[in-house]
Amino acid sequence: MGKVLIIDVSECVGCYCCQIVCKDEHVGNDWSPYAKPQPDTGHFWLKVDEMERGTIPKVKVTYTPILCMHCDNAPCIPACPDNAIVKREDGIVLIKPEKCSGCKLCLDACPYGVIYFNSELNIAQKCTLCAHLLDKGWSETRCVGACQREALILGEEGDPKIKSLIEKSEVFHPEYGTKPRVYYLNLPKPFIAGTIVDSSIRECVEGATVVALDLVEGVRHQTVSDEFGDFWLRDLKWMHRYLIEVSKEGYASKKVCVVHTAKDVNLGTITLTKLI
Amino acid sequence: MVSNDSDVKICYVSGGLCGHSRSGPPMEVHVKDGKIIRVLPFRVPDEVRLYKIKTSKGEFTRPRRTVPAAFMLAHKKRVDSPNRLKYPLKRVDWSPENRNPQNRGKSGYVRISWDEAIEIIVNEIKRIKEVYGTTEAVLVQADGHGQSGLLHTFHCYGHYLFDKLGGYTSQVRNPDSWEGYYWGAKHVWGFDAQVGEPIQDAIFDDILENCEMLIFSGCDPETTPAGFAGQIGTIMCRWIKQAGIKIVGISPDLNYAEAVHADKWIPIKPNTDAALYLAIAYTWIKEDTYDKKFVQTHCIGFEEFKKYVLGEEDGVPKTPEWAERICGVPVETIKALARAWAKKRTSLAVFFGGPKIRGPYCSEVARIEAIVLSMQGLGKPGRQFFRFWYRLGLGCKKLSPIPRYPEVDAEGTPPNFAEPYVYMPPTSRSFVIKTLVPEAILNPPVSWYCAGSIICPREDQFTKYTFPPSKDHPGIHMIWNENACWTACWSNGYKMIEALRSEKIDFVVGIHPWLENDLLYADLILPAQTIFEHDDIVPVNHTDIVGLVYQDKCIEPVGESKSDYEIHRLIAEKLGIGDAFPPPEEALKKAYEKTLAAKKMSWEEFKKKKVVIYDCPTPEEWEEIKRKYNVKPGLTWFYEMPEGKGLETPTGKLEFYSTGLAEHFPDDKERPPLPRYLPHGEAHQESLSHLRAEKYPLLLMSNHPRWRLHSQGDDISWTREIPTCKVKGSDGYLYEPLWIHPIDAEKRGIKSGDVVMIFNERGVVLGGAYVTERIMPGTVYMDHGANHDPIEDKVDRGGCINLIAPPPHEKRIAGMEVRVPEMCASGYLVEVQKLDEDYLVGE
Repeated sequence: MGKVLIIDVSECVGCYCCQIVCKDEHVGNDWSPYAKPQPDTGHFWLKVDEMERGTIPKVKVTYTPILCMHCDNAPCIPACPDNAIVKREDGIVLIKPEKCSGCKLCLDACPYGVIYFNSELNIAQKCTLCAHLLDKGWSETRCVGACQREALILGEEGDPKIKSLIEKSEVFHPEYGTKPRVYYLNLPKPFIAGTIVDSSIRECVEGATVVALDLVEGVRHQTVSDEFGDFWLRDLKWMHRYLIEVSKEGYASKKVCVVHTAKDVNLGTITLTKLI
Repeated sequence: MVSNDSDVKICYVSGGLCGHSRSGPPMEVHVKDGKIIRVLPFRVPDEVRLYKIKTSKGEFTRPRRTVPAAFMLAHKKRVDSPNRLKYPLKRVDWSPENRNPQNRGKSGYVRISWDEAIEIIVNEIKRIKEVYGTTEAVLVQADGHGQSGLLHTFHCYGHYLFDKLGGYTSQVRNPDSWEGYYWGAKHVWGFDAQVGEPIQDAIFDDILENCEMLIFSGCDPETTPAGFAGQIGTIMCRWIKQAGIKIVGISPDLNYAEAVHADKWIPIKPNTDAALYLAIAYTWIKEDTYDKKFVQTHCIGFEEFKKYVLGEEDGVPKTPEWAERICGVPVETIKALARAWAKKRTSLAVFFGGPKIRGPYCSEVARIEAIVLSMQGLGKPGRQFFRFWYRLGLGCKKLSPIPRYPEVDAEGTPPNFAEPYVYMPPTSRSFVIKTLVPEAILNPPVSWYCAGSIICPREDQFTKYTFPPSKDHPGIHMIWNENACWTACWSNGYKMIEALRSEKIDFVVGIHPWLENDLLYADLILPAQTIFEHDDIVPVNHTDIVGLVYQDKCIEPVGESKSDYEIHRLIAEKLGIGDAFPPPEEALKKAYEKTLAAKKMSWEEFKKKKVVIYDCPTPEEWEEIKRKYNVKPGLTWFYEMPEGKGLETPTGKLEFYSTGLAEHFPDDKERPPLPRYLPHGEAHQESLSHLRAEKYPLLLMSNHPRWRLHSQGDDISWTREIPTCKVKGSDGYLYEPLWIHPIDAEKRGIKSGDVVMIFNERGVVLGGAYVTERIMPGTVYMDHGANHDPIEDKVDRGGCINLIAPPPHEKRIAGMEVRVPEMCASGYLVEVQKLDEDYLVGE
């Protein structure tokens, strides 16, 4: 049994309350031996990562709260020469302020960049998952308690409800191989969007079929344009190449192009030509 | 909540910044050893019954957790923010003998004692009476938003105090966030008590059941309501998504709600919504897809409107091609929108109003919007004008938008005894509408129509007022400022600064917790308190739940600060009218005893229990209440009237051709009886088609700020780290972001993070470039309300953008009347330039 945090990115609307209450809890408050006070600014033990996506007018913003992943295979622990970083039985990773000598090696070791250095106190600091509160019997961390949309859920990994959520979720950067205890639902996946018009009569084309063929995996993604001629192919894969084809009965079908999902793609206006 | 710390004292404080003694949900403050250690969202107690909006698509309710806006959760930072006022201050070179008005904002302050401060004030009030014969020479600026305790942070006592002293000049707060509906749409549909926007009674019942498409017309429910009501707006958006309603955002910017909720964003150039609406009407007329029967029975003036739309009047058909050139929305999108709107049950959503409703000629935008909504049968199931609203006042007639007991709305919370001075039409003979205050000081006389207060009736727009109201009136010679936000939140702020520095003004008093904005120009400053520094009642009524909270003093007052109430009480005592302000405990008890809660719980019990949240009706009870009060959602009652009457317009119908305007101002070209799209005219020259655009080729738009409530909370170091809150310049200064599209940025050699100057004839404001796809090319965007930071004459470093926003009438000269004294805080011409790096060296 251990604590896990599940974050549903699709529920996050970017209010930043989680980032703010983390400061509320830790700036100016000394929770030793869990944590010493956080500096007023510059530290983000929980940071909302804001991602602007697409180009006008196909633009979206996705917000992803990032914090210490409380990894089961935490690289910061062996990196610490002072044995100041400990893994608790409930999975929480803590930097013991009284043991930290300020060598900063853990900052380099953490691939997620979630450890901050407090130069005034000469210690490394990070999210404690509000262990000082949980140990007092609180049922939730400050960030969890400040989310109006319940995008952040704290639970026990053995809880069947949590288990089923974990099954649907993923970890941030699994390639780091650190076994995070923070799980994400709906991490941003690239979209390809556009608007289909018949420019000869300046009309949006509704009901056109748009196919994106994943040239890496051979998978076909398909959608249909709406009354505004808009289509959104969502949940694609980053850094793949897709062949886009647009077709509608009565129109010359159109292979648009090959796009690369290094970022979200707005194909802009795609013109279909009516067959005579 | 979740704490079991035995050594922590739990207090509840107001969690909203509406002011006017109207708070959102409270916040739970943990105090230890006299220090605030944390601020938590409030949880509605389990025993309280929450509402459920029952529809065939399911039941919709709110979570028990009520999370305020981020800047509210961090409001404790304002207790000791760098600009917090701790002691009474006097400007160093001001004295009764030598006033040096020209040095206001320049000369700095010296600490004085309360005794000295009060003596100066009392002597100055007496002097005003002697020299000018009346205290009407005192302009009381005591309105607008602020902290929201019942008694102690009600920053509007100046009206009450000077009323007791025998008269004053009242600054009447104009309908600042919904100007266009007030000055324009009222002439189409009335709704005086609802500030010119249609009735919202029980409206969620219809929206969630019947609406298929919701147009967010510059509407940002993630942002605008949060500082008042907490984040109920995001929950309402969740209901809308769950009900399967398509959200289409129309605005120059991709605002915060649209960025996460909209299914489609239609970027539109500022001030051109009227052109889009006209092309939609054109499409409907041409394709015969409007509600002809409704137009015939419920509307007047359609034939005149139709002639204008088809170009039979002016030779210009308002085709999608015509509109595209003006508003920048592609022809095919306009046609598709028109067809979707006709086909799907479509409502239009605002939270009071977006950028379009606070721009030049917004009265005409609002009138044409009202007409377009009417053409599809306003009040038909799913076809409403929908405000993201949650309470009875200012939006509803008999019942709340969401299920609530009417008696809870009526008597659940107490009003402040001085509140009538804020909302009601002025009772004094001497007043000036807030938008014209600089003119009233600098270039009197000034004449305008409509007293301008929030709930003035439409007919008042045909009554002419003048300041000074009579020949023997002395004009304004002293200013009593309790909200410190004119320069930051109203338009043409540099003009207000000029007025504040005028030699006509002998004395400027500021009462506020922070040295900011207008207060920089005060002669004498009295330090007020934050909500954490006194006992009070929190009336929880500016959100979707209603209740009362006893607010315990969390911490000792900072420095020698006193509450707004105590300050006025002290001054009243010295002026011999101390009885006007009873002891606070007595005033609070008296207020409490008028509430529903008092029927079940004594004052002493309430003080112990601290929290009362009223139950909401069950869905069955709600149905019964609606039957009893004869309420149908929104405007359904009007739609169902066979004779199509019942509005507060002269004919009782929807007036496409406004008969009131025809009677009183038949020849008005800027607000004619039949509304028209007007790019520029005598009052405003804020259009890309005006010559000014050669020098100032960008339209600047402004929303309600995401990280402040207007100008409140700009000093919070934690929110200032958010990338859309501030942009760090190369000089380390945190600048207010200026959103600019990559195309416009590149043309000017601007990169994200560059310090830029935004300017027009009115002055210069600095900002930090935020290059983004969230703003359309040709338009730039900056939230209003950033703290004014003057570095040179007419150069502001703080990003206080309204300093260069246009006045109600650009070319007004003394004696000229202003028919529409509206505020224009969005959609005006500027140019943006990268700032020479050398400029800021040494700052």
